Amino acid sequence: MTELPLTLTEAAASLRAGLVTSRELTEQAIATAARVDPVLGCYLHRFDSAARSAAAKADDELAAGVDRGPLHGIPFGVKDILAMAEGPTTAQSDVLDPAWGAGRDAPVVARLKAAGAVLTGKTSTMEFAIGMPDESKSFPVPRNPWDPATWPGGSSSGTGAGVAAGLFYAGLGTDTGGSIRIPAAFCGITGLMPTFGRVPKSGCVPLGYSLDHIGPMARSAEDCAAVLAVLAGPHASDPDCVDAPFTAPSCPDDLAGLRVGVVRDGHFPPDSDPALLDAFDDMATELADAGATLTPVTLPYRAEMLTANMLTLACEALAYHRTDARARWADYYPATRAMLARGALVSGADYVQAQRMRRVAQDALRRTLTDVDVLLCPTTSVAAPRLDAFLSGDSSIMTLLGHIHTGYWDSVGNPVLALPMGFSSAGLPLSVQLAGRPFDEAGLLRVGQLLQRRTDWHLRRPAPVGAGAEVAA
Amino acid sequence: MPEPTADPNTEVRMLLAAAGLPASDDEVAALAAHYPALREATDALYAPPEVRYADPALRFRAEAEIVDWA
Repeated sequence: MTELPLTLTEAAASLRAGLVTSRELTEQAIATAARVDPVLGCYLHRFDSAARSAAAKADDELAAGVDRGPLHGIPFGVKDILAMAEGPTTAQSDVLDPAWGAGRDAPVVARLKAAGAVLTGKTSTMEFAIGMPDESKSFPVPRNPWDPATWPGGSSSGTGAGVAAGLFYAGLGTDTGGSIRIPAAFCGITGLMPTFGRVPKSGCVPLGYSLDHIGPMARSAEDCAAVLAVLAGPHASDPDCVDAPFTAPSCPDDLAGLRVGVVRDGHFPPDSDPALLDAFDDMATELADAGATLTPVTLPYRAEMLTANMLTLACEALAYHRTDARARWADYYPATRAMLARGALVSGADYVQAQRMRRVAQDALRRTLTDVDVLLCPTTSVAAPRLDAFLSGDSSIMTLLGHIHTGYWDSVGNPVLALPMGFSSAGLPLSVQLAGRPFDEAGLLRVGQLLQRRTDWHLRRPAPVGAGAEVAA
Repeated sequence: MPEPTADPNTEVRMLLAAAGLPASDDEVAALAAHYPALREATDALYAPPEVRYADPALRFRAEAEIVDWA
């Protein structure tokens, strides 16, 4: 058997060309998981039997001329805060009621199944999508396939690491303060946080009711577009979800006429990775060489939106968790407890004020996005940190927060695409964000596809686990 | 009426107790260390004049129906 395709899009083409079967893709995914997951901790639950059945069904359907679209027959991971009928949902916690979601599929999971995706299992996360790695708990500590001594990012940790390590071609993540884009950044893959309200959130354990976004994580922008086309659309159970049509765009020939706002303020703190600036400038140059015009831009109300993100998340999460937190405080991870506690340190009026500030910031950003079409900024200003700082409870890890540039976008709700953009001075992935107008995911994905036609960072793979963190072309 | 206190540790302990969260002394101390910065950042949300008469981003709808998701 020849080497299997790398991207979801290539796998879909290979399936239809008869070069590979879904059974082969799925067996490869299962074998890879068996080999590397004891180290990487990507999965909380694997559904090998169900995946094999789905793969066999996909092969039979495709052979009979039944084509459900580009996800048909493709191995796919699901973050374990999303309900899936095949197995339990834990949210990586001892606290979540096992009866929650039991035997049921979240709307996004049902849509993936209807599209013929081969769902391979539930991927690891941070406790309730907000805790920190903790070896004292019964759940695996997710590790970065580029260097298993480092963190893959979170909270969609297992999905990010799983795509990078080849356990599946794409996966579902969620993003409330950066939890799709941070693991996409640290694992060297592509992640899309759609516009708030693009994808139904029901059937997902909530972290922040007004901040949660469900979105795809995959190798490429083209792959993410294919997945979003399946996920997007209203659902009666989610009143925040709007009926805004989305069709996966094609890659443009150039970016003539595109106006790019380049954001640097606050995104290059003094202790940024030494390779960050050149990598970012190179991506900006790629956009310019493709025909875009670049303009320096400052994000309006950046500090206020970071505060609003933290405050809103803490309050909304505490409302959800208060009953369990009072009764089972010790069963939560320490980092989760600390975040929940912050929700008690501000008032109801403070929460409302944060929502007023979000409206003002959204309007200011809207005006910014009349002068430019997309905004470009680093996802993080450092690469993946070492895990031992997390696991030892070293408080210095909190300095990482100043290097993460994602929470602004959750506060305003605009769509953001995170793309690999090179490597750090230590050889670990770096990432750039493209942010756009509400419901203009197609515009972002067109730019992302063109950038990934001109660069190959998204095709780089880590060396096999145990062979060292070498950059593989 | 309790007197206002400038001691973050006391204030944090009171707020957590009011919320019924049984945080340990170490947890209270850690939260108290960051509380002044949290309070300052939160108070800063009230500062911009343009937000004085703004409506919140979250809206209440008079018509609502709970529909199960599966």
